[in-house]
Amino acid sequence: MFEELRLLGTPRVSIELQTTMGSDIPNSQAPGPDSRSLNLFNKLLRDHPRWRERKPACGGYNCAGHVWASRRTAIYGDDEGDDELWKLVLREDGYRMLKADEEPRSGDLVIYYVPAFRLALHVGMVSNIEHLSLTGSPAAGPIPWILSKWSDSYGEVLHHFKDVPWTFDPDISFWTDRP
Amino acid sequence: MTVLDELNSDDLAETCLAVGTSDALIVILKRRAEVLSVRSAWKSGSLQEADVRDFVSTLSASFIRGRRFPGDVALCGLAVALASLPGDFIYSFLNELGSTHTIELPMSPRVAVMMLRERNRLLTETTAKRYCLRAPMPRHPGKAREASATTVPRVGYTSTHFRLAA
Repeated sequence: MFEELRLLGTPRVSIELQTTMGSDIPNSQAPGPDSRSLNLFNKLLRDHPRWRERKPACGGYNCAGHVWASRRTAIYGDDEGDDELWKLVLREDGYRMLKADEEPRSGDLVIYYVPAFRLALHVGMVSNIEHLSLTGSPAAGPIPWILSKWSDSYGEVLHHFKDVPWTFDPDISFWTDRP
Repeated sequence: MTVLDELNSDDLAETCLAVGTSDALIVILKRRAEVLSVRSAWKSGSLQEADVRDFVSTLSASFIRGRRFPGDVALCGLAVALASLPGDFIYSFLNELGSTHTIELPMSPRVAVMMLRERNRLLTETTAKRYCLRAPMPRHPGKAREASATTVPRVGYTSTHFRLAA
């Protein structure tokens, strides 16, 4: 059934990638975006007018590849699933979850989870702290804005940490490598 | 629009493309109406092997080398919808998809491998439960140990489900 795709397709290309402690991180460079991905990315930009596009749609890397592989490759996980891999990377790269009374800072990570399942959906990097609410009006306190690559075939955008592309509200936690 | 076409909708693709892990993607797909409809259609017999083959063939027509395959999300949905249902065809479908290691299909082969593993686990458990219901009580108490040690796997191997799982 899939012979044609196997014959015509491009073999996966990986690069050497490890955690700080030396565990291998399975990876595969992502293909370029197709026309559907381009259309969907443009639709998301229209639906989320406060997103700021940093980079147009591109392949190569996904959200995890953006924060943990410096945009060189995509991290999809191995056959054991990628949620466990993300936990391994966080642990071996020395990340800890921020406590409720700690403020995120630039360079920290935000991870979105499927509500009730605690399965990771997306990872982005805190870019800057602003005093802007979801509606664009001044916020009472500092609000983290996130640099995200929402898909391996989308571009990078800056967004309010609660301005997400899903129709459900994800669980959110911030992680840092600071002591 | 057929139930299979709904798996290829922009609405489903928009939600799923923004999911970075296959574990989370599977959890989300299991709850999507499009996936549940395909599952129901297969169970009722209104969706058949030939329909799935035609659907995959139609999707494949949009394949462009070096570009993300537009049908990747639809194949993820199909794998999740069918994985826990019995039949040699579904086993072959998951197996073949899971061994399609091309960059154009970044998620669906991974989802297929994970669903195949879940299928094997589920079907093994199903077989064990069926055996317990059908197993005869030993007539001679002194031979009970022999019966429990040898009869269980033999009966299990006669089941189609168990053969798939093994």
